[in-house]
Amino acid sequence: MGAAAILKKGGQYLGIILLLAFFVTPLAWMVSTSFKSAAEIYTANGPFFPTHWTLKNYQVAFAAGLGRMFVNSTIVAVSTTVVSLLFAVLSSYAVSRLIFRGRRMILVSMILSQLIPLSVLIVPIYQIMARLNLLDQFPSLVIAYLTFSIPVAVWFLRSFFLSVSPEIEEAARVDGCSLFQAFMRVVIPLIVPGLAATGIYVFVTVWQELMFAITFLTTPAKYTLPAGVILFIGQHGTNYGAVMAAATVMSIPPSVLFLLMQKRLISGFASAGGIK
Amino acid sequence: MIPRGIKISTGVLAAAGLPALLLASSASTLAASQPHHQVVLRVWDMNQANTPIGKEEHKYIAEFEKAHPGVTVKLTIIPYADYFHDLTVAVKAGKAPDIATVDEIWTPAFAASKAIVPLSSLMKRYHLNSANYFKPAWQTTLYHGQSYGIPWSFDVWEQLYWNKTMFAKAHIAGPPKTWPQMLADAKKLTHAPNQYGIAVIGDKGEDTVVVMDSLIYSNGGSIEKNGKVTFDSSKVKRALTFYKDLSKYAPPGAASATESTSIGLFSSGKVAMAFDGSWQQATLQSQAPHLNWGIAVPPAPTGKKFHGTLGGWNLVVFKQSKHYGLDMQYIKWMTKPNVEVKVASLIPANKKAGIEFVKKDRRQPSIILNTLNNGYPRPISPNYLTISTIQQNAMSEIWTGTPVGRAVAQAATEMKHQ
Amino acid sequence: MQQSVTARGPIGARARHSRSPAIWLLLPTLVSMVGLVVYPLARGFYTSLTTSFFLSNQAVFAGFKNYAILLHNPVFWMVVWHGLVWTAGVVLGQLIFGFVGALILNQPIWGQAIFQSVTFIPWIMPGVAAGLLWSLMYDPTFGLVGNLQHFWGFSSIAYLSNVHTSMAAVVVAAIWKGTPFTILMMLAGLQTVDTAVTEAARIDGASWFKVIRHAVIPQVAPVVRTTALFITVWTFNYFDMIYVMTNGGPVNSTQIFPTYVYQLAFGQLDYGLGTAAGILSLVVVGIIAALFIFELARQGALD
Repeated sequence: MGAAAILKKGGQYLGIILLLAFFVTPLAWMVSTSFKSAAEIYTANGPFFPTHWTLKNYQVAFAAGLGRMFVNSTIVAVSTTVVSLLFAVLSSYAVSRLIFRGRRMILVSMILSQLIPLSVLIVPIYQIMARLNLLDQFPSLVIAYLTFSIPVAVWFLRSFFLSVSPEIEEAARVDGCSLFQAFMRVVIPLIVPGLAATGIYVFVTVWQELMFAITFLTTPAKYTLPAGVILFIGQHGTNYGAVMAAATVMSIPPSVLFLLMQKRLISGFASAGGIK
Repeated sequence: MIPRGIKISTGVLAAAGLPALLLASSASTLAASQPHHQVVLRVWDMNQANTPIGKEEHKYIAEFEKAHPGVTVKLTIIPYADYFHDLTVAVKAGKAPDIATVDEIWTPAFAASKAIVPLSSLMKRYHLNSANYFKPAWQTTLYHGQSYGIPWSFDVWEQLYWNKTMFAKAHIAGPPKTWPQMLADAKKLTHAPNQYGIAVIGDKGEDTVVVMDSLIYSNGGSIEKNGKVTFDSSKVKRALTFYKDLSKYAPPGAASATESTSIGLFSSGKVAMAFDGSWQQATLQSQAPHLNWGIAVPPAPTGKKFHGTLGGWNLVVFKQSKHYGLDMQYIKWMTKPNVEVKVASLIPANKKAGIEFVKKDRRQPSIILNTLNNGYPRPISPNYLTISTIQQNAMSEIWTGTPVGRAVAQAATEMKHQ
Repeated sequence: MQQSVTARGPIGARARHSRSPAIWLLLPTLVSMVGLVVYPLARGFYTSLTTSFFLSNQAVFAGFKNYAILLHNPVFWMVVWHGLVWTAGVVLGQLIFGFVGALILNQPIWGQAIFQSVTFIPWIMPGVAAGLLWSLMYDPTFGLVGNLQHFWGFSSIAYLSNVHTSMAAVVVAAIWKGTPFTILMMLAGLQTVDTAVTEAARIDGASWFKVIRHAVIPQVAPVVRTTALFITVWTFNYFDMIYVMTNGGPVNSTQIFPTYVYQLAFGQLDYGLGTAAGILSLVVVGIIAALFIFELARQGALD
């Protein structure tokens, strides 16, 4: 290995270390704080790691229903992901493959839907949910999240459809498949990485959504994870230990899942980003 | 490619079952809801971090339901941090509950919007007597001469917490009684950057406004008087100048210091004094069990008397409720002294219950009772939330170096435009 | 438009040139969009033309009065400016960190998978939790940043407490939170890079930077543009972190549109005024988005 190569490798690792330091230090601080007692958190210039490790914050967080919230968040996030993908696949196919007037406008208006501040929409959407008798029910959240997930999903999936050569589909049609059969048997398998990537995007967005969750859900047993963080913010003080314990629980397991799915995800995002 | 795709697709298919499950679960909730001949009383309450009051509340609700056959109480407990948002969205959307716990500073806005009903005549009918409540707590329910709520729990935001060990080390005999003494003591107790005289609260929040108001009230000033803005008076300027002077002996970061920061600084032994309500006694006991601290009536300008800022929660009845009488019966039930002691989030507003609670639950109860009786409410106005925002900005301006006179004049002009 | 489609060829002119299947395929999306975006937005716009007395749900038509009030308020213009500074800072930071991060992580190195999943964590963490984490980190007495300063013998600076540093402090926190998404997109983009082109450049003796500058960047440009469009829009409307960290203070130094709209509508209960501010925010971010969309259209990405 030449000197230049060593320098380059060294530079790479230095870069990685700096980058990791920026990302990991706050995370390490979060995890470390989650094992500190209130007295240690409120120690002036205290040590990075706890002097006495305690599980009390986790006990408090789980006693407040963190486990249940984890399940709730999973139900809501998976449902939203599935429904969004279902709707978005159809629409995205339409805007990528079919030619009709207003296609461009639909694409642009989907971006516009992302521009609106939530505070403007929240009361009207709340009224709609009230009228549908859905307040304090998971479907109210799923429906509201669709508003935000579908447009992005359509955009992401569109680039996958564009990357699938139409000839493949045509060939299947020639072989006697119906439009639907060709779509299901030929096109869908080819865009599975895209579905996975888009699905993860939707999942992550829903996993951390707060505004709708705290407005629509009022029964503690139905809270999703971000609403759970709010439990520990009081008028006269914040229970930082419990917040950090909750944050650790809600962010690390999904990241491990990501580690497992990673290869497919990256190649999925590859085509999603590559709008050409 | 294809096999991998199939693997994922089956996962997706399995996941597709979930929405079905979800709909099923919501359907079952619907089925479980109450039969029609039952009267349902919808009650909203908030919960502070770390103090789950819900359990006790459910116990008394069960007793209430037993005593009132045919009535079902549906209690919704919302975390404090969401409470105002959730309640206002529900009211705005026409979906208010029958009864709710409402911060005394929100009560006038609810009253002015005609979202809640005046209770004076109902109180008479259900034998609820205003004389049973601490007078300062009672006053916060009044708007245009009518009572719009039943005080449930309250407290003053300011006691002077002082660190006895630090005072002894600095050879100071006891907590300061006047503003000049306080400045002198704070100076003596400051050994930056390891120890400071006092923690100030100065973030963009209500916790800052209550300290400002207490200083202003103690100096004989006011925010507004008979509908006229008095925030630019010399008494206000003097009070806020004192606060700014005090911050010289506080750790850096006044403009982002919250009540939580302040009591944290005190519990960690970083500062010798802090202003805070009696509710923080519990925090200190858990956060700093070995700290040697006491409370005192906070100092006032020489020759004047200290006045704290009141805070508290009222029970209100929403206009769209279809059974005001039943609502009053519920309120009467939950404000009985023996119940209030268990479910109130602060000191019970009922005199008998409150005194018993303070004596049993707090250190140095006589000081607390003294400050309770001398507390003043924040401006009772439907515009209060805007007034408060203006005050918060004025304080930020002062921390960042704007002369007090200019910050106060600017704030007063903004308040007059309301 | 027809022609460009044919030229770009997804299915081309011989494809189904009929409206009906498209309508059916788009129907679920259109219904949900009309129900939950268009209708509420129309309601919102009407609300912005009214004044209501605090929580009263009887609104009085007031024309453009709320808009006039906002446009004459210096705080509003401050919010416009802060919104632009915040968005530019966060987006640029995320793009730069994301690109550098992706370049590094794109190399076959030991522990790559673990690094990638670690950088994923901030993205999935709820914004409130991330905001609280960073507030605690910045605390001059109890936080990590304060500790480091103390350790090196500097006096503590309270970054969130100073009007000159508060915006930078929240921007750094938001970059931390959002960069993982950019890294993912960029990594994906890098994997579509034609290695033949970069190899050719390298053989020609171009330095590493030159290879990046002339061979890699042009190839990932489409990814960068799309990513930039989405994160710009999301950042402009991102509420959770600033709300928790500074609530827009001190002295409005971190007040951006979403926190301002929230403060007016739900903090001060002036729902009409808050909604009007929301509509104006839509206009501001709409102008920014339009620039992106024209650029995308120019490249034919919308055809």
